[in-house]
Amino acid sequence: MIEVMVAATILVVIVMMLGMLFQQTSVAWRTGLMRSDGYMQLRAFIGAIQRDAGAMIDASRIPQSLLCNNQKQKFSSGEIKFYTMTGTLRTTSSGSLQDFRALNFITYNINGRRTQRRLEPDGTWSEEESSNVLAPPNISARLDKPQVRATHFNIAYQQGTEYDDAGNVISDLNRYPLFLTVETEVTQHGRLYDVGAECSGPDRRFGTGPSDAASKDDIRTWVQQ
Amino acid sequence: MAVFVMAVGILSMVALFPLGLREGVQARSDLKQAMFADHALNQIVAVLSQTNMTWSVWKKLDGFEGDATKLQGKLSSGIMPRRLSGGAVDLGKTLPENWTIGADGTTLKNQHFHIACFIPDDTPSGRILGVTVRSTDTDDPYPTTERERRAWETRYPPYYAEVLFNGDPTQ
Repeated sequence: MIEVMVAATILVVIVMMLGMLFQQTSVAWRTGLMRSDGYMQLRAFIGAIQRDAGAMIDASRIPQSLLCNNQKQKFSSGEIKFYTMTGTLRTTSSGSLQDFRALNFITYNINGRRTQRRLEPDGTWSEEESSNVLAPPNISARLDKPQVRATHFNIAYQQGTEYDDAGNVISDLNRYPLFLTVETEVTQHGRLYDVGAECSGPDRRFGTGPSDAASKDDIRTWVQQ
Repeated sequence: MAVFVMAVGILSMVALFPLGLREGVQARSDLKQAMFADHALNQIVAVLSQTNMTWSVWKKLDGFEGDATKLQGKLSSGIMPRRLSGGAVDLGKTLPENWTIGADGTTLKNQHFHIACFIPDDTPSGRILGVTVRSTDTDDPYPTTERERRAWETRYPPYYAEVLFNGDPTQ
């Protein structure tokens, strides 16, 4: 009898240890998953800025008539607006290739909204296309996802005063930056769930489930937030 | 006997968990070091490739070793970029700012990373400057003695970038 009790106790201890181990492993897994989710969103934002800024041109050196609604390039802590030169050869309806290297007017605000307009071959600007590259709606609405927030852009310029082609001083806000950095925060949050089970076997009752008969003979499991 | 065998088995299994965790910590540390090097090298390359860089300052950078504050000291005040928010860029502050070491949020300081600049021997022109950045993710500051420094450098991998001289060669 003593041996059975000792063996049962050891078994219970081992099972509890394994249970705790799995619980901790699962929490660690989920924390890692949330962290990588947060960094994934952040990488999408920073990657988009990096790709656009890599093609940036100094808009104070292009004719005023080419600017999008006379908007100058502008760099502030909450928003950046600039022009890029990108493009490729596109196929026209007749099947021939058309040179389509063009100016783009790109804006980003600190909440992750990116807009783009393209200078068309006929001299007009295309309709604005916009998207949120920091937190797409299907991610930001989910409670178990990390919260990613960009706080501000840091802008740095080469020393000295800069003049435009007409000889006017260009204000710092409109200067072509030497580099810019973006500061962001990732906050991990999520819900914890309890997994439970209960049994009221032969037949200490529970019941009141489908047509009762003390719910023949209930073992219940649940997930609770 | 059975209990003893089982105890040995369980203990040896449990001993594997810290090893697994250690691998995770090291992977995280590698990632942070690479991210920090990217962050630091991007700014250093931007500063050194400015058109107001002078040849005399450029030549002095060959063989430079030290932290961000010391690097800043090598550059004349007319070279340091200005910030939109006011004042000059302070590499000693902006490079480690917001970075932490380990998992407990300890602030990264200038002593936790090391910058080296040199003109590579196998290039025909002095216009190319190589820059390396090494950093640590533990509180293991860059040592003061030469022998310890060499050991520190073998512990942390270098990340490398090249800068092209774009300044005025007559000054």
